[in-house]
Amino acid sequence: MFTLTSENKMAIMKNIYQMKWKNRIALGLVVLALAACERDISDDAREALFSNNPDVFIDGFSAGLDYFPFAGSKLDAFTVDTETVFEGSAAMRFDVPNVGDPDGAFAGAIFREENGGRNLTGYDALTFYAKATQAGTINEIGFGQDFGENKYQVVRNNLRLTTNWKKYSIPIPDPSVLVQERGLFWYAEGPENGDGYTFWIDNLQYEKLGTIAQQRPSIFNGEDQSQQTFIGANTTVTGLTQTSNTPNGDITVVPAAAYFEFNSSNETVATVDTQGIITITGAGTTTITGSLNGVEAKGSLTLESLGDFTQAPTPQRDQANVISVFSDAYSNVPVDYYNGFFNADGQTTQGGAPPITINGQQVINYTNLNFVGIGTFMDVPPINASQMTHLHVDINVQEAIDAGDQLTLQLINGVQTSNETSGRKIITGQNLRRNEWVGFDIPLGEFIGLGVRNALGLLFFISNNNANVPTISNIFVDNIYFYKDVVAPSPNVDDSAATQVALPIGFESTSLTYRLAGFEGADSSVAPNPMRAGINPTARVAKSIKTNGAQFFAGTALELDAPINFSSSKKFRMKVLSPKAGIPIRVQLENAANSSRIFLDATTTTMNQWEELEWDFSGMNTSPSFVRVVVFFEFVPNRPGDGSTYYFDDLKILN
Amino acid sequence: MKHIRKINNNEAFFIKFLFFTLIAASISSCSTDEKQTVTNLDKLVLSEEFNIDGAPDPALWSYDLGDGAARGLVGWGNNELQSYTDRPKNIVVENGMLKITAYQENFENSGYTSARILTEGKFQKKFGRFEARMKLPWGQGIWPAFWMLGDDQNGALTWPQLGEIDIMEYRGQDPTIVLGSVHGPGYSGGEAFSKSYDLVSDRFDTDFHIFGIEWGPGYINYYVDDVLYNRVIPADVDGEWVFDNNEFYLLINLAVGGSFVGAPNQNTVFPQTLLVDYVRVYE
Repeated sequence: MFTLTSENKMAIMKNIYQMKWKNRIALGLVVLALAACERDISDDAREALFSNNPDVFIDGFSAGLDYFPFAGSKLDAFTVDTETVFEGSAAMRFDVPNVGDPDGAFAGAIFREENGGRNLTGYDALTFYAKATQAGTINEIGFGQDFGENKYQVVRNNLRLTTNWKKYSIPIPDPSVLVQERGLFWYAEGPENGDGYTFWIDNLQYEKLGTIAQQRPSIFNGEDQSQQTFIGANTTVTGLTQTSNTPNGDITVVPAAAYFEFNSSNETVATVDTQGIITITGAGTTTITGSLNGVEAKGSLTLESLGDFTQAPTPQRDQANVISVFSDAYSNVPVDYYNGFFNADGQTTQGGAPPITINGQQVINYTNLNFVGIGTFMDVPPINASQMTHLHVDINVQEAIDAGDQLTLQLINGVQTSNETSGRKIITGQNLRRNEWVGFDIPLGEFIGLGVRNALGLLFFISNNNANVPTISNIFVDNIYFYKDVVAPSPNVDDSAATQVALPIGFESTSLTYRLAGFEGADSSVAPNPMRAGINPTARVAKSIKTNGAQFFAGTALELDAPINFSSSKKFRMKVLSPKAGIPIRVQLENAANSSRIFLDATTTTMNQWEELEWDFSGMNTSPSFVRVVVFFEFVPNRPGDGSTYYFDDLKILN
Repeated sequence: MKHIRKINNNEAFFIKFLFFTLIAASISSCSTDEKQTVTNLDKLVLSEEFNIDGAPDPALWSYDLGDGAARGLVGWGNNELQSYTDRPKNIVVENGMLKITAYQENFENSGYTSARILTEGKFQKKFGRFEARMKLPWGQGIWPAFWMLGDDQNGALTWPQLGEIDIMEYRGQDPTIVLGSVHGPGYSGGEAFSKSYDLVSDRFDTDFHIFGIEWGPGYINYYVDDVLYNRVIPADVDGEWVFDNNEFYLLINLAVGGSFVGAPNQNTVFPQTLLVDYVRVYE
């Protein structure tokens, strides 16, 4: 941090001393002229424990004042200017940097009283004259920031400056509390449209203007909000403002919570502390209101506490097999946000910014849901879920579930790149429960159209139905993670004595003819097992070369002599040996005429070693007489074959 | 009290304009004559203390109602936006105060309601000290007034010949400034003789202040509380001095919008109430 040297200060203080006399004479004339119109100023000033010196910067720092720039700001943005002044010998000059200035991205500092603080109870505003080299808008300017508690911080946002000197004021929301204020002034301002500029402030002081009145405080931005909640949850009073009327119109500032008094209408349901932290302690309904200096604030929050909150079940999978987006059970990957607020696209969804904490555990509550995205593509690395097989999410619907209600999960890979792909999975209302957690383990292959998933950037929750009308509006979401489902390998298939080609198939028979046909550039045949190790030591397997330039939908068809029997299970298993991990393998089951077919994708989780994958056709129509198994390796739209050789073996319905 | 005949020429009667005096002018006027005393007259001849709850005393006050259309003057000659009523919601005496309250509501053909009362034919007087203690409303487009009009001499006189003395006018968006004016032949409307008074470090909507004139032959002195800020004599006005030979009556109203003040905007808080603690007349 930078502070003025004592030498500098001495020089400035000398200037003050000399200039004050001149100022007084000039000022005195004005006061005389006005005096006849005014009533006498009352003389009942109370004795102050701390200095009630109103000056911050008249022609130099007032006594005890020091300057501390914000970290990351241009440290030398503030200087004392003796040429451009409103009055007297010096003014404060602030040089806002250009975008990209290596010295700092913005100008900003606090000006703090170092003698213990000032008593400002006798004033009603911080006032100053200001002008700028262009019509700039100071992002934040105010007082009460002391790099400590910032208890009575006040900020006036977006103060517009002109190129002429003009007087501005920042009303004190409630002067009676400022018995010992150290933060006498602060500001933060960035470039305007990329360009820096200069502004000056002069005669910065506290004043009793007497003309600031008709205060209208607000909480929750003046809105009467309502929210469902649970015992153990915390939330905060937000949207604090104080609007005052002045002879120049209304001025709105943002006061710290400590200026307000907050109240909970039913303290058995929730309590609210001086910082505006609301803690839910019981079931029932309470309304949080506030007041500032005795004036009731506009806006409120009505909380309907449903009682104890049932947390989602704690996930049990090994962290090693998990990439977690949002769960207390795992270390989570960084995200850009849990709610992207795509309001320009019509998003209405609130919540998730940030997630709420109930009894120390985080959970996301999306309300007014139509769609909402969790982003991992802007300032954080996208998620490489190539090795993962499933997406897990726990959902708890907070309202009645009607016919036709649904939630759609959508994954987008390569967001805002030329290779962007996406896939959707619809969860129907029948599979959701009101006020009850339901866990979903969705094979990533069911996000049809996603293809690769090496750079997942967005996960959407969409309640809109096919007519684009929102259905479910209020959900809790927890334990969002990708995981690798390492299926326990099933026994090897020995079909050496089989009399027909029917599942299970191990390609071990030397008498049967396995009608194996590659198409669209796949070259397929029965071949010796190139890697008789690990989970697959058998002699013979199926081999498929996806030749260079083959269609992405090149594959291998295996004709069966008997239809697949799903009576014991709908889980199709197969061992595969791939030179690539994280590629989708599509298994399509067809009837003889190929008029009925079902398909699913599974993804390799490893390379150059045999692994067993599962395609779970549960919930799909398995009644047709499926007599053909078609296997597509690396089924990624528009990705041509590259000569890779794949092997598969032990096709079966899991018993 | 004399019988007041119906007014024949209403049109000019209700036109009331003011012009904005430069603040600099008012400041310079304040420090002039230190020998001026604020008031001399102290024999109380009218004491309306508003101590009886209910409607204003009908023996003293009448109402002007509507938007002025009944008098052929929609907007009361000033493009005012309110409709005046005699409903307790808009005008009532309670807790020792007269309360005139302006609401934003659709009423008849207006977007706002308020009230206006006058002592025409019930209390009229030439010369004296006329004052009211009031706490003013505030906000863009809010225009309260405490003022007087000259008797029309059974229709023989029309405005501005009959004379108008505006003891207090105020724009809600300028909560520190009031104006005092006289209108007469040759100096009416925008040409009226007017001065403003700026409290500078206080406001008129946060506490009660006394607004008065002391009026005698050849002069009208305007004061706020104990400050004399305007003295008008015949030499000041650009026309005939019409304040030495006629009786005047009192009016109190709270207008919304109009040429003088501009329309309310989204920051104007409604309802707005003009509080009158008392009206007193001395001689």
